[in-house]
Amino acid sequence: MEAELTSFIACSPQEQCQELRQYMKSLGAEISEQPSPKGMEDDLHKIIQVSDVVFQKGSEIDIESVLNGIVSVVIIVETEASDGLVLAFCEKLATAWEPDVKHGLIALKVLRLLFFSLSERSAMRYHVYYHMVEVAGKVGQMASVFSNTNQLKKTFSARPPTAEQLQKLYRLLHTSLTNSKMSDDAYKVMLDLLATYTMENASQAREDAQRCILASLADPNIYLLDHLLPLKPVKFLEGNPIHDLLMVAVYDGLSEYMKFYAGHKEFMQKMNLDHTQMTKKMRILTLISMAEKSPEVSFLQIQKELQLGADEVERFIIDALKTKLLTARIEQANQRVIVQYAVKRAITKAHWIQIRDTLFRWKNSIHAIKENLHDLDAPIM
Amino acid sequence: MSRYYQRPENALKKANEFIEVGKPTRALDTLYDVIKGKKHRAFSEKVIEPIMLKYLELCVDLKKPHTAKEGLYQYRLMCQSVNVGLLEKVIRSFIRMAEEKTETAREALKKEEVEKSDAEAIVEVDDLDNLSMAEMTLLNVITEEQAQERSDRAALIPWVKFLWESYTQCLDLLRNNARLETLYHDIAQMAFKFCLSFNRKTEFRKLCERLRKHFDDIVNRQGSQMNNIDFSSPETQQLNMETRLAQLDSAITLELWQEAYKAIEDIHLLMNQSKKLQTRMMAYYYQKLSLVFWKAGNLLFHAATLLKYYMLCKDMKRNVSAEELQKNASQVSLATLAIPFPVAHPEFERFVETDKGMLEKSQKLSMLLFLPQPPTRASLIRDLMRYGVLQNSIQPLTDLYEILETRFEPLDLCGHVEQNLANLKAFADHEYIDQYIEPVQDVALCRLIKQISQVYQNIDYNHLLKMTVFADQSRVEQLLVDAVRYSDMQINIDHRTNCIKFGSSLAEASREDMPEGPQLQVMPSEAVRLQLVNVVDYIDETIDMIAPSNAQSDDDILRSKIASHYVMTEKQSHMALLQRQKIIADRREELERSAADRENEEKWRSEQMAKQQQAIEAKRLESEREEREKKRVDAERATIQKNRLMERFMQIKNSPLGNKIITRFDDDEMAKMDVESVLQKQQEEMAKEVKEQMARLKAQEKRIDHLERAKRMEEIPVIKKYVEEKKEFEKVEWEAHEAERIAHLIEERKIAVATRDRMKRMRDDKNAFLSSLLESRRHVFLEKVSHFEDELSRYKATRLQKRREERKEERQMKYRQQMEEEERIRQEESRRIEEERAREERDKIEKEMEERNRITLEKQLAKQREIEDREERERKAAPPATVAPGEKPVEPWRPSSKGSSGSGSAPGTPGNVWVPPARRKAMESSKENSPDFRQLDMDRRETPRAEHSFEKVRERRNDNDFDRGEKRGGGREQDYENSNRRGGDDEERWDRDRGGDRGGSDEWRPSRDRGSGGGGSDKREWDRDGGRPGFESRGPPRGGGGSGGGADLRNPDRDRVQKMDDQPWRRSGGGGGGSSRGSEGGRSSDSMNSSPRTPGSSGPPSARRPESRGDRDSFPADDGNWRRNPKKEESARNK
Repeated sequence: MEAELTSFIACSPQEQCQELRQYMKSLGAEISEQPSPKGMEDDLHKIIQVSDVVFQKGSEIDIESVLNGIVSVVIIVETEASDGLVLAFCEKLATAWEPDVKHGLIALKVLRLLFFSLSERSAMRYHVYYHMVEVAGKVGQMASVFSNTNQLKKTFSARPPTAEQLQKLYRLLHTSLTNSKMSDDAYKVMLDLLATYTMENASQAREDAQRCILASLADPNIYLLDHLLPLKPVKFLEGNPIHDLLMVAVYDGLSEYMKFYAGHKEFMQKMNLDHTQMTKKMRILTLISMAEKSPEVSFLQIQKELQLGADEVERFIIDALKTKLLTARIEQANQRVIVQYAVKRAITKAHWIQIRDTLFRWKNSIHAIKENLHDLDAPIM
Repeated sequence: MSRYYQRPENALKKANEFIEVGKPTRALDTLYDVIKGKKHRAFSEKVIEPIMLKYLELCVDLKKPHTAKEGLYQYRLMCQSVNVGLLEKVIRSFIRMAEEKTETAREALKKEEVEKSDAEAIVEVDDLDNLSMAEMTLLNVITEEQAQERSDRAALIPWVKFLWESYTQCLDLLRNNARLETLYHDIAQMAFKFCLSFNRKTEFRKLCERLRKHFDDIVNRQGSQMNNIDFSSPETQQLNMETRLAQLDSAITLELWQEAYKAIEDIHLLMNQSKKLQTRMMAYYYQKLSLVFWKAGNLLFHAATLLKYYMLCKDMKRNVSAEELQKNASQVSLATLAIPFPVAHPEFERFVETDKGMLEKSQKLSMLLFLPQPPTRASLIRDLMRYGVLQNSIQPLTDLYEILETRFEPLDLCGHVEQNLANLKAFADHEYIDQYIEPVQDVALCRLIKQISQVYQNIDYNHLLKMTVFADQSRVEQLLVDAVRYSDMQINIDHRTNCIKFGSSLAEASREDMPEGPQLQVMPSEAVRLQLVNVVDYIDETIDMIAPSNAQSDDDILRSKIASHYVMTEKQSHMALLQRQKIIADRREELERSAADRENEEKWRSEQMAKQQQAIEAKRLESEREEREKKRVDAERATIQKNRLMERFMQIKNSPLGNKIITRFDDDEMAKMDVESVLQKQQEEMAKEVKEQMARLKAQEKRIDHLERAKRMEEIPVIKKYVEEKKEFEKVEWEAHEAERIAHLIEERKIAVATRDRMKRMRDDKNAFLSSLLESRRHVFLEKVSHFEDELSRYKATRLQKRREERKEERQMKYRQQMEEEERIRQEESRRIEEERAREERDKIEKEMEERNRITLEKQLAKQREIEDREERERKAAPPATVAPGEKPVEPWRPSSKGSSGSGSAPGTPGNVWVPPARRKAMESSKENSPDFRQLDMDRRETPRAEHSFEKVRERRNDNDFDRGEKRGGGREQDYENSNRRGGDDEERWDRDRGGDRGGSDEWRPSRDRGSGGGGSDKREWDRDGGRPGFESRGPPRGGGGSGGGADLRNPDRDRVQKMDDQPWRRSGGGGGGSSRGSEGGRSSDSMNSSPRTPGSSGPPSARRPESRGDRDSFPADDGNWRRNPKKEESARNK
């Protein structure tokens, strides 16, 4: 294996191993001071085996330097042997630091070092990254290892991981991000995860899909769910109550949801979905639907459709406005709302075409205006 | 008036007397005279001090501040350069007196009207300076029932007025004197207190104005005088600062905010001036400033000031507890939240309001806070977050912040705010909270309207009012209107439909790109405005989404550019980095070093301080020691003085006058008096005595004068009568005498006639006898005459023969002599020139004389030579024609000789000797019978002069020179001596013949004349001789004897003088003396009058001048002497 990074220590790897051994010994690890007769790989194996001692007994400054020392040795070992070593080391690091978060950060740093020390074409990079995500998720440092899936794909462009590996990684990322309260990113990852499935293996993602839908529904900031529908695993769920619920959320109004809720109370509870929250979401979605139909919505209509009290209407409208899904102005004196614009709950191909047409029309108009202006300009010139 | 007060003490006494008899005004006038009097400046200010005190006391009693001022002014002039302490003392006592009086007046008033506040009473008077009695009377007339009260007030108000004026005058008096600065500031502060205690707002304003003017004066004209206040000194600044702070304090207490603001400006100026700022003072300043801002309703700056104050407190952690800090933080937060929203149109404001631009104003205010730029609400809120003020403040405040600044809940906003404020009040009973509630409510309402305007197109008024929990309609409406006006909001109030419309106009656009506060959605107008912008933004975004590669490639290009740039500048940046590192290291080192230095310095300073302390201690000890020493010395001196005093007492007692005084005082008094006062008394006494004496004398004189006059007046008629009587009597007497005399004369005549008749008989007998006698004598006479004739003719022939031969010989010799003489003169002249040049410095006047002598001599010489030449020619050519040409030189010569004799500088050359003969010849030829006394005078005068010059020459010379001189002198004097000798031989004869007055020159001149005149002139010579009176009286020896006796009498004198005088020079002169004496001896016979002078004139040069003056003095006497002789001769002749 070729080292991407050069290390600058003034002694041979063997000597370094020997020093590591001695250090481990001094910390009370079960390791002999004698170098293994089988060679350096064995030495390293042994060292890695006991490297958790460092977290328990070593001083804070030492931990990082010692582990970095191990990294520096590992990366210059022969390729075949090193894979095993790297794996072993990563597994060790992934767990050995617990429960101290500080140590976790150190472990993360060491893993990072290892990750960037490895060649871009090394297969081990995926594993190291996986462990990195694992540790980062635990210590709440997801932002430092993950920005978005596109970036991630680019990182591994030299040697893309397999689909399974990727799904595994996405799944880990999703959970880690969810734990780190980065639900937006987690959601995106989930979507990416679901997108990796094909019709053939969509069944495998059943769980994922369900989880994804649930997450989408539960998220107070996600109102538009139409993008879930084309996903294969979601399609695969067709017929399931969860899919029905999704359909309601995408296309229907509050009344439909209420019906569904009446029919699937246990399911809702089982899926751990908050009814009031869902109700609120559905009301806003309903309002959007109503606004789609007519830009002017009277309070009475709202009261009726959204099953609200007369004094709740304004508050609700303000809340709805806060979602930024629509802009509107309340005509309190006239007991109505004038919606200026609202998002489409579901965008179909027809909509896209419509947008395109509009844009083209707009473009042409702009050109025409420009021409006109030019014509106006010329004689003056 | 002032003549009473020759001494200030007397004035004081007098004043006291006046006061005792209840005439304080007179007493005041008396003292005023003393103080005003210019001559009293001469008195020590210490002497004046008691007078001053008394004077001021009177001024206070009489409430005459202006008089007091004048007095103080005078006293200041006295003290300013000498003893400022006294002035201070006097002024302080003056102020104290005034205050006491006012206080008593106030007390008295209080006592009488317990229930009524006296302050009220004074407040009614607007301006003390314009207090008029007319107003008082008017008031009296109007309100009857309050008459009593008013009269009391009338008692107090003048006192207050007086006190006020005293303050102002003292301040004016002291305003620019560095040494009285402390007093000035004390009085200023006292005046503040006065304004406070009597609640005098107008006066306070005036006072502030005055102080500011003084201050400006000081700042503007610095260093013009010695005593001026040096504004740059920290003490001055400190004092000024304290005064200003007191002023600020008082202003705040009096609630004169304008004054307070001005004071703050002053303080700020002072702060800028002074180098080091004291945190304590700063804190105080900020506190007051915040108060003033609050009162001015400027919440923005109020909050900013509080923030500053908070920061200051935080910086000096030691002094402030955490609790205090939290309290401060809470106040800052609350104040900041209470800041009303800024006006959206500052420039619009400028046009509407006539005031100065808002910006300028706020910049000025921020200067006061040392802020670089004016704060805004937003910036302050940012600062709240940045400095962690909010975190430090209490919980309800953070909540309030949340509600007001971050959340968007218009429906509940006011309710929440209300609740929070209630919480706040419950949370802590900080007194400051209450004042902010209303502003916070306003802010909340504003916020509400802002939020509502975003969401609502229109809203029912009642609905809105429901939301604004704590406000009624009017307040809300006010707010709405203000919001439109100041915040540029689009609000319409439609009272017809009772609703409020928002954002109706699409054409209007808000000016702020970043609206403050929570934002939900833009106004419709904004939406229109920003439509295109938004479209572009979204399209951009979409393009990125659709074709990420574009963005990617852009990124790549950028990256490669960056990379290439990096490669290009790699080295450079590396170097720069290294450089930077080095600089950092250097800086750090520098810092460390400076820190170390500072430490060292600190240490050194502390050591220095300790040393100084020690030095001060030592000095103190030293001074104490000195003090003791001084005391001891003083005590000694006191005892000595006492002794001396006693002595003086005794002395004074001994003198009759002193005794008189002393007996007047008893012992006690005496013991009290010191010497000076006793002396003073004595002097006074003496002066009095003298004065009395004078007065008595004058009186006496008057009386006597009067009496005398009266007497004379009475006398006049008596005397007249007496004179009349006497006249009568005398007339009678005279007539009797006359008659008697006439009778006598007649008698005498009768006797004379009788006698003639008796003698008539003898006539014939007498005639017969006489004729017989004449006849007989005639024969004898004729016989004798014939005999004499024979004898004469024979003798004449022989004598003429002999004379001719002699003459011939003499002429030859004469010629030789003359040649020699000329030669000698020439030498003499040159030598004299040299000598004169050497002598120039020593004797200037002498030189002048010499010069003149020489000139005249030369002239004379020339003339003489000319004359002689002429003579020669005459002699040779035409001897009988001598008379005609001889006349000519006489006329010009005589005046010149007269002039020379008048000036006293007769020609002193031997040539003179030669002149007279020639001249005399001419003269004698012109007027033969008149004896030329003047000529003789000249001779007498000239000879000594000539002698002088000879003697001078001789003195100067050594023996050799002298010998030569002698020889030469001898050469010259040969004639003299010869003739003298001759004269000497003939002396007896000539003396007997012509009188001793004729000198040698006279004597030999005839011989020479005879010689020169030749035989032809002999007869004339004789004729002249015969014509002279002396010739006739040659026979009687009396004239000659008399004059000769005179000469003889003088001679011994002369010899004595000569001996005495000659001693010095003769010793130096050596053998010269002999010859000169010899010559003198010879000359003594020449002219007896001139001879005694010669030795004197030949004395030492120093004695010469007086001598010569003596000569001149003695001339008249000589002349007299000389003249007497002719008289005698004449008388003799007459007889």
